[in-house]
Amino acid sequence: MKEERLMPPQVMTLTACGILGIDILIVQRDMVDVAGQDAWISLILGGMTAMILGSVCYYLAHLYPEMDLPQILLHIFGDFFGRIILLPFIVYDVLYLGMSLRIFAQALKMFLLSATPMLPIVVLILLAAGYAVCKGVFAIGGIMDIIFPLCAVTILGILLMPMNQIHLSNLKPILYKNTGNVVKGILTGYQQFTGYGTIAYFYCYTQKTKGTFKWYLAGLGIPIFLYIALTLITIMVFGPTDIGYLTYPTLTLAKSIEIPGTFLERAESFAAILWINIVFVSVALLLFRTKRNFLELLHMKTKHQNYVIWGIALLLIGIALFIRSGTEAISFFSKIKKSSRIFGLLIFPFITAMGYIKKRRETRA
Amino acid sequence: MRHSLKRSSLLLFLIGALLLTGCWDQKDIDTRGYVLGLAIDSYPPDPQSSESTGPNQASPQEEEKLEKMQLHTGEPGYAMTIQLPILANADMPEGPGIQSAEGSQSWEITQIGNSFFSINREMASRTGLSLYYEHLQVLILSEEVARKGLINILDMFMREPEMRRGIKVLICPGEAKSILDVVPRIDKYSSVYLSGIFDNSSRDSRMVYHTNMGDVICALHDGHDFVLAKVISTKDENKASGGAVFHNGRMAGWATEMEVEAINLIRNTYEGGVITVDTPKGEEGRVAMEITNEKAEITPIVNGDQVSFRIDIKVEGDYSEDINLHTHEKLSEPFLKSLEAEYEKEIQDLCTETIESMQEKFKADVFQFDRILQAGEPAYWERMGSDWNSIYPDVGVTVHADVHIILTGI
Repeated sequence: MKEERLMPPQVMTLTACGILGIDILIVQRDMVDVAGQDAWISLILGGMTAMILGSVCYYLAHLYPEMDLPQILLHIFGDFFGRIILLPFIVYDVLYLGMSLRIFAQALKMFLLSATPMLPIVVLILLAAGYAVCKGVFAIGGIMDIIFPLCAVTILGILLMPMNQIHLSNLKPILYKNTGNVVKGILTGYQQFTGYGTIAYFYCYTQKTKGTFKWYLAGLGIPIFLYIALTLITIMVFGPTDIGYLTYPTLTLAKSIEIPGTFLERAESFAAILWINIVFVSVALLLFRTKRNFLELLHMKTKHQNYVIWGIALLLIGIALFIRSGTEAISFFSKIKKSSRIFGLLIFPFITAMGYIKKRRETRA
Repeated sequence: MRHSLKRSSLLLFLIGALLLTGCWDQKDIDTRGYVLGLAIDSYPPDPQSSESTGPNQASPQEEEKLEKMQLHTGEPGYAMTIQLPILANADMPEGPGIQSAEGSQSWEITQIGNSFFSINREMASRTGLSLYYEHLQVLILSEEVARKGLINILDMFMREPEMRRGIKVLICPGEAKSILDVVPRIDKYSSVYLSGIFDNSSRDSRMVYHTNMGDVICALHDGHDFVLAKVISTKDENKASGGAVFHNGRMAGWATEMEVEAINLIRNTYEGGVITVDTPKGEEGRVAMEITNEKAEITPIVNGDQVSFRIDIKVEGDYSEDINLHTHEKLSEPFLKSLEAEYEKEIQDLCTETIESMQEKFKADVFQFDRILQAGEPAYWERMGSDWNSIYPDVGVTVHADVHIILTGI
C-alpha cells in the first residue's frame, strides 16, 4: 500500500506535463517534414491514437492498482522476462531524456544564454529535477500543480499573440494527393504524445475515484490540443516551406510576436523562461520513471534510490554532451524517436493483453 | 546533525544558484552597442546606378573614409553601416541644429567586406562595445544591392538568433547609408524615426507596411514575388512611399505610390487611406473619401490550361472632404450613389492599370496569384506551375469594385 496519494486532478497535470516536453520546440518541423501543410491532420489522428493507447495503458494500471509499470512487468512476465521487457523502456527513457537535456541546453544557449557553456545548464536542471525526484512523487505532484498552469498560459500566449500574422492559405490545398504522407505522419504524430505512459507509473499513488479516468483523458487532451494548435498556427504564420528552415519553430514563433513599444521588444524572453519550467517538469517525470525502472531492474531497495537518481544524472550528463554537433544531436534525437515507434505502438496493448489474461487466471485460481 | 547538514547543503545550493545563474552572460548595459539601424550598400559603389536622394548623399571623399578589412577570400562586395545610439548623449535636446552644436546622438560605422558576419565582427575592433541586434529597427538596402538579389545577403539575418523577424526591410534608390545619416527633427535616431513612419499605415495607403524580414524570408523560401517599401531622404526627413518590386528574389523596378495603393487594395493589406475623385455629372469639384474598411477576394477561373482571375474589392469609407463644391444641401442619396460609382470606376481603373504594369514592365506576380492557384487550384498548379513565369504576363484579370459611403461628417 502506497502511503502518498495524489488527488485525481493531479493525474491531469502529471499526464499533461509528461507529454509536454522538449518536443514542443520542434513538433511542427517533425510533422511538416512528413505531411507538409497537412501536418495538423496527422497530428489530430496521432493524438487520437495516443488517446486510445493511453486508455489501454490506463486499463493496465487499473488492473494492478497498487503496482507501477516495472512492478507490473515483473509480476506478469516473471523476474527474468519482465526485466528483459523493461530494458527497452530504460534504454529509450535514458536516451530520450539525455538528448532532451542536450536540445534544451543548445536551444537555451542559442536564444538566451549565448556565453554559458552547456554543462552548467544541463547540471543545474538535473540538480533541480533530481532533488524533486528524491523528495518523492507527492513533491513532484505539488510542483506540477504550480507549474502546469503557467506552462499552459505561456503556450496559449504564444498561440494567440501571432494571430495577426496568420495566412489561412498556407493550410491549402488540404489533402491534395497527400493522403499517403498524412497516414505516414500518424506515427510521427502519435509519438509526440508518448508521455501518456506516465500514468502507469503514477496510478498506484493516486486516489481511485470514478472521475480519475476523466482527469486522465483531460491530461491527454490538453497537450494534444496545444500541439495541434501550435502546429496549425505555425503553418499559418510561416508556411510549410519556411518551417523546414527553422531549427526551433516554436521559439521563432515566439520571437515573431510584435508588441508595440520598445520595452517589450524581447517578449519572447518571458516565453523562454517559462519554457524552462516545461522542460523541468518533463525531465523530473522522466527521471522519476527511469529511477523506478532502474530500482526494479537492479532489484534495489527504495532507501537506495538517491544513489540511483544521481547515478542516472551522471549518465544523462554524459549522453547530453557526448555529441558535439548541434545538428547531429537533433538528428540523433529524431532517430531515437523513430526507432521506438513500432515498439511504442505495440508494447502497451501487448502488456495489457498479457496482464488481462494473467489477472483472469489469478481470479479463477 | 544530519538535518543541519541537509539544510546547509540546500542553502549552499540556493545561494549558488542565485549567484551563478547567468554569470557567463552577464553584460553591463553600457557596454552593449544597441544597433538600431543597418544599411547595406554595394562596394565599390556604381556611380551610374546612384541617384541623388538628398543633401546627405555621401561624397567621394566620404567614400574614401570607409574602412576596409583583410579578407580570407574574394573581393569586398558590400559596405555595411550600422547606427549605434550614443547613450552618453541620450539626454541632449533633440533636433538637427542642436545636435550639430553639441555633438551627435548616434554613431554610424561603415565597414567593407564580403561576409556580413565577418563585417559585424570586424566592427567590434572599432567600437569597444559588444554589438547587439535585438533592437534593430530597420534594414536599408541600396537599389544596387537589391538588384543583385536578396538571397545573397539575408542569410545572416535569418540565422543569427539576435535578429528579429519584425525588422523592417526598406529599399533606397541611392546610397542606403544616407538614410541613417538623416538627423530627424523630433526623434533622436533616424532608425527609430524611420521605423515609426510605418505606424501610420492606417492613414496612408501608399506605403508598403508589410515590409518586415519575416515576410521577405517566407516569400523568398516559397518563391513568391513581393514588394518592399521604398525610402528616400533629405538632410532631416525621410519619406516611405512607393515600393520596390521583386521578381525571383531580385529587385525588378520601382512601383509608384499609386501602384502601391492598388497592390494594397488587391492583396488585402490596405489599412486605410484616402481616394479622391472628381464629382460626377460634370461639376468642377473633387471629393475625398477616407477608406475605413476594405476586403478583396481573388477568384481563379481555370478553363483547361487557361487561367484568369476575378478580383472583387469591397470598400467602405467616409465622405471626408469636398473641394470647390458646396454639397451640404446636395448630399442626397442619388448624389452619393453616383459618387460611389465614380469611386468604383477609380478603383477598378487604378487596379487594372497596376496589374498591367506589373505584368508588362516587371513580369512580377506581386499579387501572389501563384499562391492562390497553389492553394485553390492544386491540379492546375501541378500541371502548369513550372511555366508560371511565362504564363503570368498574359493572364487576364478583371476587377470589380463595390463602394459604399457610410458617414458624411457633421
